[in-house]
Amino acid sequence: MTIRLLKGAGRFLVFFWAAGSLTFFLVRTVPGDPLLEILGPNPDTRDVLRLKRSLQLDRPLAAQYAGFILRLAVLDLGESLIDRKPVTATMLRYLPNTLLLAVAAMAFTVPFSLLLGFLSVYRESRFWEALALAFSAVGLAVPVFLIGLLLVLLFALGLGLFPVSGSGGVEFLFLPAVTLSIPLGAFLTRMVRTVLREESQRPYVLLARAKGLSRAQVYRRHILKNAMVPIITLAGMQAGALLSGAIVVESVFSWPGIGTLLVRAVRQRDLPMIQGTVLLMAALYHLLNRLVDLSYPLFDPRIGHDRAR
Amino acid sequence: MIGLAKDNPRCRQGALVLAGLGIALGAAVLAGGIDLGLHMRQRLQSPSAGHLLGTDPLGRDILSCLACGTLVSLAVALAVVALAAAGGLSLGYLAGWHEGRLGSFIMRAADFTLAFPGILLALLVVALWGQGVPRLILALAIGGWAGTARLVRGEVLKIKGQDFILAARGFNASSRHIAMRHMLPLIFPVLLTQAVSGIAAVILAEASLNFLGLGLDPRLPTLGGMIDAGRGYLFDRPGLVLVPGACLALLVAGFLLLAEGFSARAGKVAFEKNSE
Repeated sequence: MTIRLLKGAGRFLVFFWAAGSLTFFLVRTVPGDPLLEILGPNPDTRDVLRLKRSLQLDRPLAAQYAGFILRLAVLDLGESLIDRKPVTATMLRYLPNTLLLAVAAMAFTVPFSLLLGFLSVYRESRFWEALALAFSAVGLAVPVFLIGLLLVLLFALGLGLFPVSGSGGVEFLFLPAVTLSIPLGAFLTRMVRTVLREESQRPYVLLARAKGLSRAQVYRRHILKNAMVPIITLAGMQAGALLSGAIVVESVFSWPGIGTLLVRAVRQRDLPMIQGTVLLMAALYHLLNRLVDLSYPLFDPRIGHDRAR
Repeated sequence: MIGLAKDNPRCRQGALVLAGLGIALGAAVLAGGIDLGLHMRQRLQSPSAGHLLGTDPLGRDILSCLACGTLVSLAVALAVVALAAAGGLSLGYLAGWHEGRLGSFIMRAADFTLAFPGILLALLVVALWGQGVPRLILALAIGGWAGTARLVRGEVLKIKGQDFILAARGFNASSRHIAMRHMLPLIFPVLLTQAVSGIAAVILAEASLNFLGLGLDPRLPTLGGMIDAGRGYLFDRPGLVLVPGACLALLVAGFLLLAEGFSARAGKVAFEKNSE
């Protein structure tokens, strides 16, 4: 386990360095002069020099890169061009909201799609199957921002139950989390169905039935346990959809998270903030994937057993 | 491949949805003509004989915008998928054929690209390089090639060791001949399936970027941009959001259905690749 953890940490560091370098060099390819956009047209030469020095643009590229990587190592991503505050501190303020949204969406979507996928296979009834298929079709084809607007129309206007946007108590979290959970749930329901159907046709199921176990017992003792690993993998693959969905959903509901911060930074052309938020999102995604990898032995004792000793 | 796909119910449904959407938009536009001009005196009109779906907050004919937005979505998606498929096919093929350093370098690059979630990479590129159709296409294709490359490499590795390839080599066939005549026909069904589901994914990504106001010039009508513009009137004129939304969802659903039908043919699960 320790070796796996260390390896994971090593891969994370390499990825973080590579992603940081990518953003560093991409920012240098920005067409036009970003300094002119910050200072406006015909700026004072002294202002330009001062800004260049504060952004360390007066040094050679190699020195800039070395400085960037060193500061990245201590998670210093510079100052925002707009409010002159450190990017890392601002991001840390917004990060918990995004995590809260993601966790809430997962909390809605995982039990729901497991149950729906399971029932649609186990019950063998037209109704559950049609329900699961319709839900996953709608969730896959309708873009997440439209789902958000539809829910706003339905709930906030029709029923007047939940606030439409902003942040505060639990009631503000409800609509964004449900919105984000629908496309995820659609995908997951589909995957649960595929995996369960595949698993229920394995020879060991026939053996267990021949042995005298009831259908329910076979599902509880064998099929569900074996289906867990592929389902966890597929749920983990959805981490990317979760994060990029969060960018859009946060914007729909003005939820103060990293996505809102990123979109605002792009609109204001706040380069350090863009760089920071993109890096943070990529790092989060990478971490989630590593966590999924690490969780396999919990569900399948065969995985990682020999290396753990 | 296409001939076989006709028998598949999912393919037929998908083709039906797309054809229906195309015919409806085409017929309506032929009847009324396309007018994307701003008529500020005619803002937010209800549907009438002159404007079958009414007008938007800028006084533009919604039906014309819808037709234009659908065309933009389709054109961008086709260009992105063509670019990503061409890049992914050649790089994936190289990586599978030359398994040494070159291959592992290409796969590292693909892994790195896939390590950015969903639209993040496209968002970064658009944010830095600015708006415009060619830039948007490039931005979306940068994230798209890696999945194809991985898929193609896997197929090449599977095919490469088989006897008929060895036989072709024994007959002194050039690598180019083997690639074009022996491997491409076998890779093609899988590639086509992924490309079609990729079109659906790109349409969604493009709409998301335009909804966020970060994709194309807001003066060009796009489906995502129309939904964004209609947001402010959600309660008074829900049609401003619902009409382009329905159009977008039908477009995506059509391609998803097609992809599912193709995947049944190609024996691959297409929607797995379409997760983001």
